[in-house]
Amino acid sequence: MTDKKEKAMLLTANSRIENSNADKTKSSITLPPVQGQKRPKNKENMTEEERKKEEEREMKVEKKDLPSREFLEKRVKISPIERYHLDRVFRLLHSCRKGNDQQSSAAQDKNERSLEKPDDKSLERGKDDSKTAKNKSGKIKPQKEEKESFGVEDVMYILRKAAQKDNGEDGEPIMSREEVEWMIWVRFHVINLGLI
Amino acid sequence: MDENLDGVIDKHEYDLMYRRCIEDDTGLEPMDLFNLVQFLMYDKRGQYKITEEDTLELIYVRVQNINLLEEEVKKIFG
Repeated sequence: MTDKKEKAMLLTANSRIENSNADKTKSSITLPPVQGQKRPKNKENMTEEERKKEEEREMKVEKKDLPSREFLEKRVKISPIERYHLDRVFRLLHSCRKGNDQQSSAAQDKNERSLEKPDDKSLERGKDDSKTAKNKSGKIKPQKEEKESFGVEDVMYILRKAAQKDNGEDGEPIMSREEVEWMIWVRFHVINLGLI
Repeated sequence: MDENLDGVIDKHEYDLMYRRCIEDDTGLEPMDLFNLVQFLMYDKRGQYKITEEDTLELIYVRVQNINLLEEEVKKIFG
């Protein structure tokens, strides 16, 4: 009787030791959840419903942080007067490439003449004229405009010009070439490195 | 900005940049190019200098509120 008792005690003691060793190895791999917080489940262990909820939550976060192109194009309105000046600036930056000397006030005048300035009625909010920018003859601008672009050199040219106006020939641009390069490329890097 | 990495910013990228920066309320959006474009938009006479008066029309169109207008002008000119 006593032998049986001893055996039973030994067995329970051994199993306790094994269990405690197993616990130790377990705790060394994963951290226990903080009190009051649920440990997030692996997607594989989730039920269908939980997985859907998790995906919806992720989508919400993504949408909040990074509005999609479609969202920006449809929801964010640009008024006609903003569009006019936005196009004017784009053409100003684009025209720098054709030859810096051409970027005179005459060239700028020509640039402005080719855009139709919106009247006062178009100052109303919420009017998006992205598709209706017209030239003087009333025709919608040709698609060729899509190919127009500007780069680091063009921005540098504008900055140099501004500095010269301000401080004469010795005027230093407010941004260095490296900074302008970063300014143009930054979004790509930030998004693709997953920093935001 | 240069999302397709062709070394230049085309009209579509330019447009998206502007819309993103208008919409952004997180402060995470890179704003340098937007600020430069804004400055050139306000600088209607091509003088590379802007006055409060130059900014009023465009800011008002966007905010549609006198109080917000004053706030925005204060942000620029202090």
